[in-house]
Amino acid sequence: MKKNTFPKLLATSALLSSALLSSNAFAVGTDAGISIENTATVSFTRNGSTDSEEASVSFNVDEIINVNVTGSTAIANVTNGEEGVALSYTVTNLGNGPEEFTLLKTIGATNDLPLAVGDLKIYYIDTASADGFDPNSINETLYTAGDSINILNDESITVYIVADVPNAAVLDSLTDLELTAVSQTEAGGVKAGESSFGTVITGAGESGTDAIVAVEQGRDDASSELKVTIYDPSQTLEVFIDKSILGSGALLNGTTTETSKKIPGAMVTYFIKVTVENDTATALTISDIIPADMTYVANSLRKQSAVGSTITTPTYVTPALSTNTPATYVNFTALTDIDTDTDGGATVPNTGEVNSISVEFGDLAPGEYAILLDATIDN
Amino acid sequence: MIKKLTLALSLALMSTFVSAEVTLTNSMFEVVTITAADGSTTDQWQKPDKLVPGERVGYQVEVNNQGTEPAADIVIVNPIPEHTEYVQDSAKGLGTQIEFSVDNGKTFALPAQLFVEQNGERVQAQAADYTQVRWKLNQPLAAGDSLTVQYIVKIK
Repeated sequence: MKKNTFPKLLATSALLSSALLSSNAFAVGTDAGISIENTATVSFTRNGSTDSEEASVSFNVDEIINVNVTGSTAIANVTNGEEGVALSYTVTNLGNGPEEFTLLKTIGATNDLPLAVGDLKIYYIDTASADGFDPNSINETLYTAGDSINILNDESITVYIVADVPNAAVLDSLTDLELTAVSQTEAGGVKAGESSFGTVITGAGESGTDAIVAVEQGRDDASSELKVTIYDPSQTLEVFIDKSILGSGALLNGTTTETSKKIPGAMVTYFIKVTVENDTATALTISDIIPADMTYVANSLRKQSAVGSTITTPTYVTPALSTNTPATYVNFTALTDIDTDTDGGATVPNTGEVNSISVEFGDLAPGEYAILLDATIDN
Repeated sequence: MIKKLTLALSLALMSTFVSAEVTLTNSMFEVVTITAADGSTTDQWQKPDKLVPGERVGYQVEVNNQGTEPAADIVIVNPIPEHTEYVQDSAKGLGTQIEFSVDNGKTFALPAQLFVEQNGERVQAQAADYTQVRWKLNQPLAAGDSLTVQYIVKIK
């Protein structure tokens, strides 16, 4: 028999009127359903002869429903972006009979990371285990919400709540994860999981005995904490690039006309947007290769002058095709093609036929950045 | 001798065996502690309700001499039921000598004279060590008289 201490048990028992249940009740003890027999014997003499009689009485031990959940006392130290972080819990059946329990996961009062409850997974092992979570272990079962787990009296199971730490979680951020185990005993419409301490559920115990709810709401919970103690910037930074055609124009009968027809001689305006998230992107450069059978339009590099959290796609402006001059856009600053100046824009190679362009942005704080460039479809 | 056997079941879960007009009745109760407003506590014997580990069960054993002759040398023996332990000082019986056994009824003695072996040493027996309670009546039980003895056990 394992030695257990149940401080929570004593605390709740003490609150209860002792007329209902004595304060020393509820410790794992004699199994529910066991018959306790008592036979008294009397012997006597009368008129010189000895005689004896027996009288027996018996009862069955009722079932206690009680459960204890403990979390980890130590905070789990994690790194932002870490996947499959497991917080461990122990669920112990403190009753005197086997009991079915369901498990619930909730996020506690502190959720700095933050985590979403829907992203958390529960795994469990049928025994008390100190081995730690191993996703490849066949002993660990993924728990499906609503499933009942049978725990024998005085036995424990190990439960893990597994989470992926968000990339953007900052140093020292903390989240509490709570595990609740709920008794599934139910009879005559009375559910242990919805009953107050001391409720008797007639006939719901082992071998038809009564079941007595010895833990408020037939459940217990505990929380474990995880904290970002190592911050890895590379986990955090995210850069997205999006290239689209803003529009195109062509000379039709000597007049520049906006047309979606990609005919030879048409000038196509490209819009490239870069999004930086969570952290500063250092020395960011946008490079773009000019497609085959297209020619870069000299000095058509333009850079969004005002950066903001959101850049809206500009409205296409038709260029002056007769002079092969790129259009001017509000909020965009023209960059020269020269690579020796400080505007960051340059053609590659810088002389002769242009294969690609590059725009050096330097260090970029989170936000959106954009450039425009033009290229004509070769005749 | 003709033996009449009846089994009486009442609210208090009891059984009665009748023989030669001396009857023995064994009744059980749940013993609960009632806390008064001033904080004082008293035990109350109630109809069994929540018989779970840690709770106390009180047994009342009644001898009734329904015959016409006195019954002498009355001895009531009650083994402490399995899965329970005797609650210290709970055995009572007016006009009886109460003794206990720690060797399954081979010998009986007063608590102060009961010893058990513990880690190779002879130590004073505790209530939990008792295996039997015995009440010996000091006087014969007159015809028409009855006597009730009681004790309490705790469910392990």
